[in-house]
Amino acid sequence: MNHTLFYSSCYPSVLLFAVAAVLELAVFQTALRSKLCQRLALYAFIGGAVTLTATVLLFVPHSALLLTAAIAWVGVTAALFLKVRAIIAFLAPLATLILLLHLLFSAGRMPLAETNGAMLNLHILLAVCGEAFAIGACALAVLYLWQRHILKKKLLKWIGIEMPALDRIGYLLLFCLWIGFIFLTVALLTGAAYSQLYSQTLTEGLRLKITWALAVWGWYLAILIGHKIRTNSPRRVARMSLGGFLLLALAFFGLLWQ
Amino acid sequence: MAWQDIEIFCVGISHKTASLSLREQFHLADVEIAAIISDVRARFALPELVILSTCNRCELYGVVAGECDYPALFAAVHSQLALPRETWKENLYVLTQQRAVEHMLSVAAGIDSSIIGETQITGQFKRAFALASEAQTCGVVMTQILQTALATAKKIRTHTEIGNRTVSISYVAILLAKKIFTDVAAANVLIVGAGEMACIAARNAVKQGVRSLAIINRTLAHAEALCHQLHGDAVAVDLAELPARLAWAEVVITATTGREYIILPAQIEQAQRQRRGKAMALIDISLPRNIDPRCQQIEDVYLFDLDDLRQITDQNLNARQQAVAQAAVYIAQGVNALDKNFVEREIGMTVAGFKNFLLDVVRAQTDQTLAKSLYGTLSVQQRDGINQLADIIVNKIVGQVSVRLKDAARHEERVLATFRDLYQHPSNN
Repeated sequence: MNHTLFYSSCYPSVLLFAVAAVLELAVFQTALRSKLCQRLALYAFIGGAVTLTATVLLFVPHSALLLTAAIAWVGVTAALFLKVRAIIAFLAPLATLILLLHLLFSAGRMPLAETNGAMLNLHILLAVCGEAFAIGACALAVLYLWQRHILKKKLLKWIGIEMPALDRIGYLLLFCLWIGFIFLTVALLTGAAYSQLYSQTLTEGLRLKITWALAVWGWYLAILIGHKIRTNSPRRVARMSLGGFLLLALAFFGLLWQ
Repeated sequence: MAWQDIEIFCVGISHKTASLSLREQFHLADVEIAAIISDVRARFALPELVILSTCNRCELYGVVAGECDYPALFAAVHSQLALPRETWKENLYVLTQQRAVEHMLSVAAGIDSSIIGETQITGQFKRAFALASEAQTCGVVMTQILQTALATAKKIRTHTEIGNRTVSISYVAILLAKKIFTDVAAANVLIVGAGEMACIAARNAVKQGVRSLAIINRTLAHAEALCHQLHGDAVAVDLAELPARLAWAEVVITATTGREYIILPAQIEQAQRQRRGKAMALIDISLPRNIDPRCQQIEDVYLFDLDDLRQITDQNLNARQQAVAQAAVYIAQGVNALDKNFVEREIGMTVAGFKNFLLDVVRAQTDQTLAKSLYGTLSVQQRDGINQLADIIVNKIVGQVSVRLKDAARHEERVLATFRDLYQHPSNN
């Protein structure tokens, strides 16, 4: 594998995500209703998703690239089909950050399939999908809290910003949480099966990873139970989703650092 | 501008120059306009005349061939009015040529309206021209202006923010509800009150497609009367049922004249418990307020009062005012397009005049020549052949001249007048 080519193929995606992030920031900061600005941000984000997917398909990827691609497609789906275009304002900077960290810290590491078997790759793929939906939920939680803040504090100059209604964001947030939770559960099961079948002894790193994964899974379970049984308010669900994202981020970057 | 042959004018009063009490005296109904427009046009020998009368303005647009006493013209349109001219003469404005056209384009686009960007004026503008067409007082020039004005208004609405933001309080109330509920039409809406504001709010709710609407009022008969006005799209409820209805409603709009709070935090808290914490929008458009402001502190309850709504309408109005500068660019484009049309029209008329002049000269000369005894032996066919030859020569000359004339006239507007002077076009005499 040509590593130079592999890493340089990430640059267009980083650039496009960064452009989308800057344009979205401009839209939000100045409360610009510039449709052109919003459209360009969306195109740049879609461009980033497409080029990154091409990179993932052409080269054997790292999990960071897989995760970013999954996040990007969650964002594209939400923006194009669920009319939650504002989600890009959160996901574009995040995608840029993950890719930049990946380029800075993971350079020289072996890509996945060169070291892993098919079952582990399936586990990684499921975990990545789960994380992507959890991150999508986090983005929606931010949008929910932001929209709620505008309405509660009567920051009416922001009211014109194109945002979906609160009830829609709340519904999509729960949807993302459920899907993400299902993926995470199946990923945990496949991971457990893999370690039972192929890896008899658990290293310290793997032990830590399992602990974090279980903590994240438990956290999301608590959110869903809280909503279903205790009818927690959407605000609490949104706040807990942010907590879940923090746990995920700590797990992800902690393991990346290791 | 190349409108030497015609003078386009606009004379009238509007909300910018006259008070409502004065404007309402000058208001003319469609029937009145239809009855007087032809007579006034004939009396003042105007080639074209259009009368626009709305609650914000009464304006006369038209074309004048020579001199015109505009205040007298305006007075003639309002001949039934007993007001002496001195009392309104200062409120009257007269605009001519380019300024008149710019004004007409601004009016049609809603830029000159009291609520900038309102759309009703475009329809009224069209109606005024339709009335003039029916009375046959609207000719080529006014029709061209109407077409340009409508196209310009459309461009302005499409490409600027002028009409994008609502400035109506009751629409803003619905807009805020839409920030909380995706499908307001599917929400249960409760309107407290049965007065004028409540009526407007109820009508807007019905217009938005709200399927489940209840009107609650201290006097049930008033609520029932409002429901009747809405053709049964709402249900009237007695005020005693308020707690139960609060638990039922997702959107509550209060518009009563009561001096005390009708909705208190304890009632909303109780309703929210029954609703299992679902979001609720409380919109208070009454003055004094009907909803205790402390309700805003309750989880998942969003309260907006008249000040909040006004803040949004003011923002939107400011945004519309900012869009006026952008709109001016489209108006300038419209005026330029009209200018070009008028130049083309004038070139066409000048060339036609020149051709007629040449044909008159040539035909007179051939007739005079062929009348001589020397040509008495020529047959009818031979004479026709000579006449045809003369026509062909004229057409060739006109063809060559008109190409160069068009080219020159597009760059220098005086060329046409000079050219007409050269062959002594009748209009220049």
